Amino acid sequence: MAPTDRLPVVQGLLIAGEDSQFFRLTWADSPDSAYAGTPDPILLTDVALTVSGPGGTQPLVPLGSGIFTIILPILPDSTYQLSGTIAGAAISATTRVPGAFIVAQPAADTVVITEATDCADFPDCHIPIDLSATGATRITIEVRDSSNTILQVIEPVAGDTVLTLIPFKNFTRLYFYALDANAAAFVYTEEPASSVTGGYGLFGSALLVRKGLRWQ
Amino acid sequence: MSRIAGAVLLTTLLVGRASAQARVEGIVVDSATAAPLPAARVMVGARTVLSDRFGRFVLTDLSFPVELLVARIGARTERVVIDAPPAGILRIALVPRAIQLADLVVAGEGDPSLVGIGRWSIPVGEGVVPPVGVPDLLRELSAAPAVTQSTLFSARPLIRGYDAGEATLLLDGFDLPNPYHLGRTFSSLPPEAVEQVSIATAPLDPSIGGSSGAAVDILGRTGPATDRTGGLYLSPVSLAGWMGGSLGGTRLFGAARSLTIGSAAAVAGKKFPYGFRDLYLSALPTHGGTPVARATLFASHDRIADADGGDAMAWGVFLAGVRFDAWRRENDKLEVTAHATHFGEEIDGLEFDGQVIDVDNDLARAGLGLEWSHAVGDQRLSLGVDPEWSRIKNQVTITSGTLTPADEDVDRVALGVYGSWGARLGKLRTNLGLRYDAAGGVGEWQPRLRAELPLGPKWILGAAVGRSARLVHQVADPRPTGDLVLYDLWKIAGADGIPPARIDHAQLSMGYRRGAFLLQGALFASRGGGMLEVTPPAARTIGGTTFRIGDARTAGLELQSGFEGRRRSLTLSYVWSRSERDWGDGWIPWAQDRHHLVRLMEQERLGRSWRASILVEGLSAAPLTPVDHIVRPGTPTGDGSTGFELPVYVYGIENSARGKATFRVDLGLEKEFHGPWGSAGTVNLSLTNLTFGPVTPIRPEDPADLLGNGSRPLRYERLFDVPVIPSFGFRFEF
Repeated sequence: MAPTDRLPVVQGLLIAGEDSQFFRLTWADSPDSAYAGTPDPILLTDVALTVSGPGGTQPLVPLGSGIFTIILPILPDSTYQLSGTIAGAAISATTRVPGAFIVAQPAADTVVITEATDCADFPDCHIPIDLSATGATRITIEVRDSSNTILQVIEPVAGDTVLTLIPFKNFTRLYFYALDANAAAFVYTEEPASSVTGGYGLFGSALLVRKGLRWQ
Repeated sequence: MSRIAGAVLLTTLLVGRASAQARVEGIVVDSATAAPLPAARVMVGARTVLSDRFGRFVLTDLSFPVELLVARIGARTERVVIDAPPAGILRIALVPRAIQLADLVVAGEGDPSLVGIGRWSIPVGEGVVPPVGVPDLLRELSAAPAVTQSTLFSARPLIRGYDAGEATLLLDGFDLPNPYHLGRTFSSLPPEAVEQVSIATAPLDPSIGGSSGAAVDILGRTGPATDRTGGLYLSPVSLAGWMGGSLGGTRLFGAARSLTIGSAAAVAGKKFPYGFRDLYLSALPTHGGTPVARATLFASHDRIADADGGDAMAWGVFLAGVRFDAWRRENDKLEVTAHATHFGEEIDGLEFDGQVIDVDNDLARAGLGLEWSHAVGDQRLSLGVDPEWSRIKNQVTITSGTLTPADEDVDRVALGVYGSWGARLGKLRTNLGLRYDAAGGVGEWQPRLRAELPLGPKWILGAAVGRSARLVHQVADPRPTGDLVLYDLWKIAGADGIPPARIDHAQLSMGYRRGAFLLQGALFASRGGGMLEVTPPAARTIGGTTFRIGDARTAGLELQSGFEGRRRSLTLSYVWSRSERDWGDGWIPWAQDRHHLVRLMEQERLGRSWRASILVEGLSAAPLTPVDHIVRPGTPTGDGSTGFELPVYVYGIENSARGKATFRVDLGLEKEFHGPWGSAGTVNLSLTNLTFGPVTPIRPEDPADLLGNGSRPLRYERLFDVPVIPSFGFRFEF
């Protein structure tokens, strides 16, 4: 059961409307050696990858240990390709960005949760939602605190009209993602499916709507 | 078609020419209860016929005086000498005898016949098979070397390298869908309602359709002609009661069973969140002591309550069937059957493994069967037609996760047509048949040929080749504790590019008997396509379907020997087998493929009323999909977050490694007692898995366990550990 060669892991989620896109490139761990929990970053000298799309072709630029970025406009309903090599091995992947994502409810930029009314079903708090997406495989909602740590992940299904939150007052942000098929098969799944040929990982895309969260 | 019609006409003429010869029409019954005994072998010289489901048989072309040898598992072999053709129906009463393990190998004194090669008959409720926790009808099939189970806790029979869904289950000859209790750990037909369960490996008799593999034939009990019988059986799991008798010439039998703890709770006025109820009824109208029809009714219902007392899960099976001879004259018989079955399951928002499951499934069938048969001398011709209507509603909604959804609601009409011709050519007994099944624009021809050659009084050789097909798939789940333990998925051939399951089978068999030693062996192989199973999560691709379609091939050697002595009886089985699948990327081992099986069963009488039994079973390792890499997902975003998640595994080639072997030892002890007014009973104690395993396959540890584990590599661990399981049973009957 000895593993084969080292496996490059590419993880990048293109988010439409963002100025920069970020990638994380690491080596997979071997099951035959002690598991450290901290992935081994791929050296920038081993990386020769580009992302191509309607806005042109951009190379991945190193930002730090295993973290890379590209500056490329990501447009809804558009297709992007990842191609190049890592340590000489060919890597490729394709993603199709979802077409549209409307968060009709909650409508305000900042969601206000009133304990007396929204948390009557304690320990759950409920807020109405009305979400619709085109070209997306899944919608995922992250609840983050002020330091951007993800504290709760919610996966509504079609027809859901209520979002149930755990009443922690340090929850300050809501991130609504409409994920493409690649991201839906990889992010927050027990058995992620890779969309990267020649390696393992995610080359996916999403439409993102951010909301503030205030408790009173 | 014209060639087939010509062959049928020629056969009819050949068969008809001998019809003027002397004949014997008879019925084989139990001497104690007068119940008709199906599947008894009636032999005249090298000729053998089987009694039908009414215990009846016809022998023609006889020269008197003639000696009949009548044998059946669980009965003393009877020799009957007839000097002249009997005026009426010859009645042959077989005296029951204690069944020994060795009877499972080659039954019958002085008869090495393998009529129905690759077939095992297992009497139920006789303590033949060492008790495993609680007696279970389908678990006892493991007395046949062709059968394994995925784990100690599964009642689903895996037969010669195929999933249980490829086999058909018949109750009194009627197709019985999905008779399982919670987690498919127990079958829902009470052993107390069953006289015998047989397993027939493919290729099957042409009259059996709806199976691409084997058939499990369950024969229910009938009431006695005189007197009354009844009893109770109590175990930690279930409480069963049964009663039989005769009313106006009709023999009646009924058995009911429920969950022991549920029954106790109900008596105490409490509610238990899980319960089941099973009911079996049979009626056998007779005319002049000879059965003329048989009616069967079976119903089973399981329910799991939610926190509010409502139904979180409920499922059940219903079967009603009737069989009668519409016409019987001389050597001809027209048998008519009618049946209606229903399997339904509902799951209402069950939360399982972080997923929410809603299921609304119905599988309803109603059909007729007509079979005309003509038997003269060594020849028998049968023609049959089975029209059937069915409704398949398969609605499964999954909220997130990897479970497999479904959305089908189809009404359809199916037709099965078959013909078979059996004859003896010198010493060679042959049976040539052809079956055609059609539904929804899909049709499958299934030729089947069986032949047997007795080589003196001790040896017999057999061969069979044939095709079996299935037009409705019960999608298999390759994992030992897979998702489909919760609900069923069906796919219909001809819709959405789904092919029929079609498998070509071949086997060579031999049987040998010398004194107290018996030996049976079989070489088998098969090749087929249209296998459907749930794609394991590790093999799923983006945009791919959650189930997959592929080819199958199997091969193996089965050897089973038996020894019967005055106090001791044992069987020793060894099986070497291969079962592989090709899902489009080349052949890989089937998930339940075990290369070697060794199984020893021994039974010993201790004094006048005690009996001890032991089962020792070793299975070589099941396939394993190895972990090639470990990845820690974490997708960077513009906010600097990487959203670290738990480690995940990157798997290597599916089933390209082997896990670890499994081994178990079970012990049983039984004490018979006799009570007042002819009553009797048994008390049994059993210890299952005496060696504390290992009884389950291995898998990679939970990825979450990798975090903070210090500094060690990935471990593979048993699916679960099983301690020794003590159990008891108390049986009382009158």
